Amino acid sequence: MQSRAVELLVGLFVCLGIAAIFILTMRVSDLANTSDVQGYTVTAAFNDIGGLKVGAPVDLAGVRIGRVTDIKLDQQTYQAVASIRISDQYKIPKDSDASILTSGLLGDQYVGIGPGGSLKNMKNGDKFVITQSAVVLENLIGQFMTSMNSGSSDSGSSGGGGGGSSSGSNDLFGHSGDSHSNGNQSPAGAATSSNAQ
Amino acid sequence: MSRVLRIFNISTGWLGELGRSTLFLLRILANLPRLFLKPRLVVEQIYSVGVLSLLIVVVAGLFVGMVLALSGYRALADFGAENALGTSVALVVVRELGPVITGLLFAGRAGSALAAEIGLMKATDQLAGMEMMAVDPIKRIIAPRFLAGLIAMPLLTSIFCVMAIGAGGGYFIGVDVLGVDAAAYWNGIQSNIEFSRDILNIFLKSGVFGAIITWVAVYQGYHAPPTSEGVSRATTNTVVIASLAILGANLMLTAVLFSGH
Repeated sequence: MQSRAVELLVGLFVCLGIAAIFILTMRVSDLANTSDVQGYTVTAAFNDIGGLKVGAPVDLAGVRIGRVTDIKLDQQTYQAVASIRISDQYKIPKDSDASILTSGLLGDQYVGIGPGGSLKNMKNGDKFVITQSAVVLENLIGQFMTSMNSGSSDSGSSGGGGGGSSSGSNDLFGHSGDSHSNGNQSPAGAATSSNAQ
Repeated sequence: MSRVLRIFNISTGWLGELGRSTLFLLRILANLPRLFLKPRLVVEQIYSVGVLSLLIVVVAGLFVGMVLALSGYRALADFGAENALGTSVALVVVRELGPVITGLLFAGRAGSALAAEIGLMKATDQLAGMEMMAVDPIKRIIAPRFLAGLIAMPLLTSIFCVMAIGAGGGYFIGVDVLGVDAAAYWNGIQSNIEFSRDILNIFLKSGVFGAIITWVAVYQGYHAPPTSEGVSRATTNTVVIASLAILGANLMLTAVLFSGH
């Protein structure tokens, strides 16, 4: 009788452990993302996908309609081609546009769909004609710095702080951008986007 | 001159200990396949090292998850990155804290009990009695305990991780108390934890730790001086050596497994 209770408890323990492994596999890991395989696949080519990753959500008006299933480099055009799987229940017009957006200031990147006006809907294998690449923070800061520098040299020595050597202030801003992406450990978005530079 | 001699003696003592424990491990491993004919022996040991460790592992997992969410939230909120809370909790738990804390608890809870049990068996001449009856104590006593530790540790670690990340631990503090968005919590986890790297890493690490702990425990117990002091020293040695070995092995495993990143 005693050993029967022991066997029962051990069985329960093993069941618990296997349930925990199952949860870790199916709910916690990235395998959870590949479960919704129903749908049709369309592609979108971007000049720069920034930190977009396989499994990233695809939103239309804030509603999740699909996921990024694959990211490849097109050797002819040197563009990144993202395959997007959209659930069958969502029909989007053929001339919709796709852009890579960031949720929050430091959040993960996702694909936002802007609906077009066409009467025809997209079907399997179609391609987004209008795409907008990811905004890379360093490029943005670089543009900002060049425009600010040219502005300050035009107006002479009006700005006390801005009047310093342009390379020095550029370096300063580049560093602050870097430390931002380092401080943000978890979403690999920022880290990979700085790698891609 | 005498100092040199002493250092020589100590180091040969260490080397001898290492060699003896390795031979002991090999003898255990050689006896493992025969255990599949007698699963009942292993089941009883899984009960004593696994089921009885369940409570402490579950409670520790809940508290570790809660405190990680609490302190992680403070740090992340400064950057407005609360949505990364789930990711940070899950990565820390799955990669490092899960296997290591479960291993330390396992060494304290199950390893010490194993060493004391076997040491007392030896002190009361039970092991010698078995040998008299032509029963190999390594086959009958040691090997089932080793295999049970090897099976129980990955299961306990998985349970610890689920407790720390899930509804009672990090999720409870992060989502229910601090108000992080539930979808952001889970999405961050799912897009950043990779099965092939992070989840398999749990099993590899916890399997290695389970082997280390039970190896140290059964060796210390089996070779303890047959006195009450010897048994107590074997128990202490088990916890100290196994804990340090786990921490060292964790550093090496992390260096190997995550070297590409």
